[in-house]
Amino acid sequence: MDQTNKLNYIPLLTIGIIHCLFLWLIIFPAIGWFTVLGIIPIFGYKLIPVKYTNFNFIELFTDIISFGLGMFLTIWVIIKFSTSSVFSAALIGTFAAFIPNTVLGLKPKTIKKISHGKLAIYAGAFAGMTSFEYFTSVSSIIYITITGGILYHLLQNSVTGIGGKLGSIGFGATIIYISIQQFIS
Amino acid sequence: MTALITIICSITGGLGTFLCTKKLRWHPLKSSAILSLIIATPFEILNLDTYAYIPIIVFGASFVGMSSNKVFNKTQVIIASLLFGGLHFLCASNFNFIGGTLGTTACLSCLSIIVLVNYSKEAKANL
Repeated sequence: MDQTNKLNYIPLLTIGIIHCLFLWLIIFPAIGWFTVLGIIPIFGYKLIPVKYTNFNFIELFTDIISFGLGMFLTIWVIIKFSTSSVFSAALIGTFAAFIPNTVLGLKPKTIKKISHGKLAIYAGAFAGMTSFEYFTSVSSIIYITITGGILYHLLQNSVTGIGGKLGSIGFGATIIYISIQQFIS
Repeated sequence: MTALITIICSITGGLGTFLCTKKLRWHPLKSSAILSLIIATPFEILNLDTYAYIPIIVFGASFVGMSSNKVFNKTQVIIASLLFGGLHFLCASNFNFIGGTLGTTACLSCLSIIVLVNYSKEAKANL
């Protein structure tokens, strides 16, 4: 990580908060104080590529739409065909994977933006795997979509080459919404 | 028996995805999604509820395999996948309610391996 640019700490903090929430809310109830071992991967933050992404409204809008599309389609497949969440997310991921990167060997800007969105679709598919008890209304899906799109936009150039980044974004979007909702109620 | 199946599924998911990306030059997203879909489809058709955790583990471990081959080699992917499998084995009861938990576990497994590899290199250099 380039430590001279202080803005690089923003994506690093974001991913750190997501991981801490995961350790606290998911791992701690299962294995208790052994969760302290979760500090090991946190030492790895200084070894991973982190780069702050400047907010670009059009790209952010594409990310939010793509994330929402992945999430909505995953939920739709689960409800419509009564499938498992894994099957549904994998199916949506497979469809997203076939979005072309080029058209007739050319790489116009529009196609580049659409193909960039396929990873956001997969991240949205993970968020769509959430149990329906947390989706109290359509607005909850919209809030998670917006949060997920922002998180994806912020982290798109960070934690590259490390598996599980998209899942962390999906988890982050969901857990932030659930935490805020529980705090308010 | 469950532990053995978890180990096999973790390695299948992680290494399978990694090899599809490396050898077939597929996009990591394509490798992960197609492999998971292939594994999940028979369980979906035959309603094998007793072994419903198998596609979940393969799907989760496939995120480990999505790592770049510039960061990880085959052995490191196998170890990270096993770590993922172990975490899933211990915490599975809390995993099925919030989306992205599998991916976050995979991310933490990968980061742990990066830390271990880095510190073992440093330790070797200091010897």
